[in-house]
Amino acid sequence: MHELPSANLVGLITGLPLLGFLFHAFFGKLIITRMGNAVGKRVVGGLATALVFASFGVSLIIFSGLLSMEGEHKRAFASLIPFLSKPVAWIDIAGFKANFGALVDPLSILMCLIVTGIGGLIHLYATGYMAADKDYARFFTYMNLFIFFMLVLVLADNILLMFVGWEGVGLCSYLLISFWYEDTENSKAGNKAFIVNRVGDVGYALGIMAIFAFFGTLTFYTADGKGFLDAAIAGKAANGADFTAEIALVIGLLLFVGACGKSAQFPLHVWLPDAMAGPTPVSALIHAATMVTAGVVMLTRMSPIIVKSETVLLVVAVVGLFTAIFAATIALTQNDIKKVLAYSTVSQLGYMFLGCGAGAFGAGMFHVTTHAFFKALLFLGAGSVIHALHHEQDMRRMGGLSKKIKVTYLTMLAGWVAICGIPPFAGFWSKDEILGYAAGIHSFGMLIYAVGLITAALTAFYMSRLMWKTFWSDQRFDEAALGAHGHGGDSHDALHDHGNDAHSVHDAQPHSSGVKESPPSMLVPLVILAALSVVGGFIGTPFNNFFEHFLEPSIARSEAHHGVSFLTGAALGTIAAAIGIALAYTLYAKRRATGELLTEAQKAGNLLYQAPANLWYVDRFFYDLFVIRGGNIAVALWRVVDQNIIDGLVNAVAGITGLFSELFRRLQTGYIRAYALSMLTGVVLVVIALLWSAMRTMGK
Amino acid sequence: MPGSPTIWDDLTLILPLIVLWITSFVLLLGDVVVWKKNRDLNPILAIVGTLIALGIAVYQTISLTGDKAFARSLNMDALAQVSMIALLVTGLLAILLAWTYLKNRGLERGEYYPLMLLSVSGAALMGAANDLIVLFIGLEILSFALYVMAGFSRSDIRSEEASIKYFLLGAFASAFLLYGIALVYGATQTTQLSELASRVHSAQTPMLVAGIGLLIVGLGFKAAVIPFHQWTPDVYEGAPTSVTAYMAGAAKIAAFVAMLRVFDSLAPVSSVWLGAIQALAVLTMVFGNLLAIAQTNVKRMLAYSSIAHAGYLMVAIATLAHRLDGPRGAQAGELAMTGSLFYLFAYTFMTLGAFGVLIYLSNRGKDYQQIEDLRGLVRHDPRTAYAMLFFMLSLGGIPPTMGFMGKWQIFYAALSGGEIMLAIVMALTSVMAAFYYLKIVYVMCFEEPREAAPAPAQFSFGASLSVLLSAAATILFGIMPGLLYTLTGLVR
Amino acid sequence: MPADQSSDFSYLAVVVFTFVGIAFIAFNLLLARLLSPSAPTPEKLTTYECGVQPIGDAWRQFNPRYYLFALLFVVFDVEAVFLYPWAVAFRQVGAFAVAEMLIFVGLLIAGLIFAWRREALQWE
Repeated sequence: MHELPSANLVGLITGLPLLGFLFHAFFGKLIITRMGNAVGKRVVGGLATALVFASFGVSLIIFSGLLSMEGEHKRAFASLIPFLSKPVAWIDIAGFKANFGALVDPLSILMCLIVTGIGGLIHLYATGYMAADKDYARFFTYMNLFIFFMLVLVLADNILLMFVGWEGVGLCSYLLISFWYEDTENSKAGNKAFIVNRVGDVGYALGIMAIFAFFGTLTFYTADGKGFLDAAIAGKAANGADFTAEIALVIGLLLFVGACGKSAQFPLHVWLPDAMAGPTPVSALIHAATMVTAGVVMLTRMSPIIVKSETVLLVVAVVGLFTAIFAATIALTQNDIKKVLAYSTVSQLGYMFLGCGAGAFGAGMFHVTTHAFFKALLFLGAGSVIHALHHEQDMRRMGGLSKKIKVTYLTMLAGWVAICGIPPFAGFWSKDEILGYAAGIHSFGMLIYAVGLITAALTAFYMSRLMWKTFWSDQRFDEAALGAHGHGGDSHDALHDHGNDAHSVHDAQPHSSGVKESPPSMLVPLVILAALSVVGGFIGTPFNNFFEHFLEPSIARSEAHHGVSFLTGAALGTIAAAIGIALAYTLYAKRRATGELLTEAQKAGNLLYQAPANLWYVDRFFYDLFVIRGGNIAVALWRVVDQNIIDGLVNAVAGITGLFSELFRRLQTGYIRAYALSMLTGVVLVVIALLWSAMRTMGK
Repeated sequence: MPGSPTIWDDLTLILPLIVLWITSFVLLLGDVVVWKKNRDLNPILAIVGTLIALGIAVYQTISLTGDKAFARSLNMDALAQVSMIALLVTGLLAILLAWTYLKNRGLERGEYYPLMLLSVSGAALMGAANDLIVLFIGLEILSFALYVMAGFSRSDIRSEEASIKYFLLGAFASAFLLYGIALVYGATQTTQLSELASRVHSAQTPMLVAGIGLLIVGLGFKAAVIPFHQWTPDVYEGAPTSVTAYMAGAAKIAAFVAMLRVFDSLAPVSSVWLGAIQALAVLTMVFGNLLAIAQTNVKRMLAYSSIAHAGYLMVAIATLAHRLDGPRGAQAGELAMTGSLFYLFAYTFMTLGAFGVLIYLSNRGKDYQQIEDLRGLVRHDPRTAYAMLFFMLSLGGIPPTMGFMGKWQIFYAALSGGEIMLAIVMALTSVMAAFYYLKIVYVMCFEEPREAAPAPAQFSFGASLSVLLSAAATILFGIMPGLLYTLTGLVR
Repeated sequence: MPADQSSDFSYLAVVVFTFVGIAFIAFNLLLARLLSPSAPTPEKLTTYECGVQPIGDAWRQFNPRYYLFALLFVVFDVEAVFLYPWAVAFRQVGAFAVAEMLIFVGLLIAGLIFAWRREALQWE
């Protein structure tokens, strides 16, 4: 078959979450008030979850259809409107056409599966986690809307529609980070995320512009080969010009800036750790598994353009590598369990970019997939820990939990081995694949490979540290006191914790105290994700790489190759992970009671600790530069330009032309005089400029 | 002569305007002579009149009956008719807003609606002018009504100040426009725009050039282009909010449709004026947005935002300069025309919507003007807050709203016409704009209200309906721009 | 520039007329200065204002009702200016012009009724 079977169902993938959004937006709150808290919440949460899983089901149908397709391309064009099989025009304006259409190919359907599959699990988890929240309906409204926009982003058949999804997920992320807006810190974090993302969006918007300028269309591929990626593969730009490396450089760098914003690459990474202020399911879904990988997805989609320019590839690889090690060092020093995972996410995203930069987009996407499994798991596990400890997020007040919350502990253990890169768990295969290709990068390969290995060791170290502080060391909290005090936030104000997940689960079982295991709705997703973290890597082993083979039609061919053999790579990777774990073991096993390596005094005096602990001062620098200075500049500008310069200019003019000044001083209205004179100045300037330019053209 | 247009044909073409005029006189006299006490009758009749005019205008637009009229002094083409529809829609939304606002303020004096309808007719005349003199008359009809309306709240000294400022500066600008018309006439011996197009190329004298410069100034003042913008914040802030809302939409539509007409005719000498328009566009975009950031008053912020939007529209005017440079330029010119009209529709919906929210809230007996006043709005009035959120996103040009679609079309036109630099400035300043629109969203959604929740706004039919219609349009045409494009696309 | 050449003559006439006008006034003023005797007194040097002594500064608030009357006067003054040529050419322009003039006068009357009912014509 060359046609995609049941193409008319593609619209359902996006349609179902949208339906969920609309339903909850209009009736969610009503249902909860009418049906009562317990039943109503079950209906709302259940429906939201069911719709996402239904969307997953449809994605599976399309996926199997895609597998059955013959031919080289495995590409189909469908509509985003349910039950239509042909895309309808979205914008059709004098020569510019963009469809409201879906591009169904391995890349988009893979992302659909991840977004709806993991998204569904996280929705399920959230029904338990958010059970006591007063804004339950609002939460699921935003979550379903997020799923919708994310699916639009990955399914869009043109880059403009992708941009709509891109902005949409940004908006949802903003709304969800600030979900508990009663806490100013949360809303500030939301604001920071939005603003930093806007910086990236400039790059993206300019990139779209550049694509249009060079190719004359914004559609990725078309059936008759007229999309701009078709053209890029054929080496042709618009109007018969060649698609050169320079064009690829301009477009590639601009799009990369956009990708950096969304995927939190240095120096635009600053928003992601703060984004942990949102509820934990949000951190897992948006800020670990799906949205933050949008940058990688976008670069992969654009791979026919990116691979054309070696400079872009190198920039992507270097920024990715730097981000990976940079964020890993910060993760070593954090005490908030979610912050550690956040910096770990930034670091892992750096790996994915490194993969893309090596030209191995398939390996990058493989890491996107496995990372979605284990990082979602780790976040949800962390949420379960926080839940068990009544909203304690500071690892210094944890410890000894391995016996108290067994299921959470065992699943977290699976996530830990996966992220550390121990064979044969999921993270090992994808990380190894990326590092192998990175070693093959022209002339810098071995250096990059070495840094990558160090990062892997650091990763193993900070994750083991997290496990030690949380599960293995001695208990460092008073169990009887848990749940006895009011809101969790009050005990750790001094620690600058942003994300007090306090408001949600807290009131669920207000009278129970002590450590408690989470309800089944939270544990089931944990177990499933743990299973995926254990075996998920086998879809892409070097022996039978189903994964990369499947993705091949979506990705441009590049010169990427392994710089080390599989066995060497696997051995070195495992050794790096083992060193990290062993180091953590030897250091922390001795300090079982405190769980601290350094005393406070040692920390204060040690620059090597202080610098990463202060996030390498990047955040503070930005804050000083943009928030304090920027705000002042805007106010000053208003004062200076509108009140002083124009007034001043006017006064100067008035001083020179004594006649006017005398005339207008008598008009005691003051301001009108100034305005009129500024207008007059404008008139004189405009007329002089026109005459001057006319004189020049006439002189020719 | 059989077949040649009679006076009746001409009158039929301006039937919507005649309906507006009759309605305004019926209202003016009816209010003082017939129904002195029934205050609700004024807005209802005004709405009825506007709806009839709108119906006729839509019918005429769809049936494509446009033609030149009144000895070629009016050009009732698609541009005139579509802009008339935009103006009538603006008028309709503004009447609904005024209904609530005037009642709250005890300002229900009968002359408000006639003044507004007359100013709509003036604005529509500007959009239909094929003669610079008619354009000038239209501008004056629009302006005089606006001067009076700006000072409508006679007990409020700021309203008075706004009115007198607007009047004096407006008169100043009108003088420049008139002088510009005189100079253009001097150079080409005609004031008819269609004649002008064929004559300007051979009449490139300093007189013509200076005339064009003064036309830019006169129209730039109405459109609030920097450096002719300084009246805008003061007048927007001082005038009654219902007037500000109306003025923001109608004056912008009229000024830019007139500019589209004038510079379309002047395209043969585009080398003369393109540089100035580009410079003004950049100035307006950059400083309009920068100055908006520092504002703490919503009306003032929206005033600077209106300046910034004028800058984006100036990009379309600059693109029009390439209309005669080959097929790609011609396409860019068409896109600039259709794009600006789409943008003007979008602007009027989102701006009237935003002001409408302020008016709706002032129903609580407190005047909502400061950004501070909106603190924590989502807590006690979520629906209104979400409507405002949508208008802010749309004004900021964030998809999937109408503002994004409008901006995209102008952006696309600029790219097709080769105005790359302007397109880049537009993209960068749009990002800047997100900051101050976002500030409102931030204050509304993520800050705690400072005082206890005020009494919920009383339901008021006018403002609610107006905000609802604006919000619906902003979303609908943002997701399906094609619906509106069938209308704006007629303008080629 | 063909457009300009055709109008050279008429503009010349305007210029000549302007200069003759200026010269005429200047000549007469000069003549008066030369011929009249000069005997200034303080009374003679004051500003002439309806024969009444001016009190205070001219920059002060005036009652806006003056403007209202001035406006109404101007409106009907201009009406007369339009009515005159219409009346002269009445026979040639026919019934349509009658209708037009009726509308014009009707509009002004409507304005007058409005002003009257709003008690704008009463002094305090």
